[in-house]
Amino acid sequence: MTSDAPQGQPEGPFRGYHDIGGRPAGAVAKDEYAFADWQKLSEAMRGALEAKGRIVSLDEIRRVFESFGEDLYNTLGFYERRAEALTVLLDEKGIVPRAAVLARMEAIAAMECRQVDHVTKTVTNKPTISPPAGSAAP
Amino acid sequence: MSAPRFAPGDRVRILDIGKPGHVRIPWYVRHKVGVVERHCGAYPNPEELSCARPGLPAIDLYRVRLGQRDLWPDYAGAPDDTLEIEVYDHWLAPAQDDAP
Repeated sequence: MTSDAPQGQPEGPFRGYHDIGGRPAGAVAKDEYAFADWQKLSEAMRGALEAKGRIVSLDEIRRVFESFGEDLYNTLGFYERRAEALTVLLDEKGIVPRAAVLARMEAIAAMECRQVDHVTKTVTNKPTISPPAGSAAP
Repeated sequence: MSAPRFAPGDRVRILDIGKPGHVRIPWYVRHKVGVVERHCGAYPNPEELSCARPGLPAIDLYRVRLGQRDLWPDYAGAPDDTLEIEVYDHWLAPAQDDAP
């Protein structure tokens, strides 16, 4: 993209990091796996938000995860990208603050003696230095 | 709504319209020539929807059939293998006598 591009002319080819068709890659994983409950639930929410007056469109979600940056995009799985983008859009639109979603994630993880790392987008077990005697294993 | 610009059997070239943001036309089909397989209807422009705009008027969507050998120079499958992809009207140009 150059500042001296003529007005009204295309800027040139754009290829997003997500546009991987034809790029060298290893073997394609073809394993089937069962959907997790959170995957079904988050897709149902996404579908409802699209169906009800297009509060959030799937194309908006795609635009957001196509701008995550390559590292985060590749860290997240298919449904994780959509869910993460949805939290961004719901915050942008003033529907649900993203901070509230992240706090709720932490509260749910804490109930399972786990913690959320929002930087690496992972959930890990809380470090336990000396578990109290007689405590039940999780 | 006006009649679709292309009919099944028409040869079309898929363009690269040089548009940033969310687009639905992957790199590997851009500049390739194929044949319209069917008109799929008209739908709001996803490039506009991605920015929370209405995307209207709706744009004709076509299913375009491309030869795998035209897409991949080292394609090792059957010579008549094809790939079909849905492309919006503004990403297409007529390609009657265009060499692929």
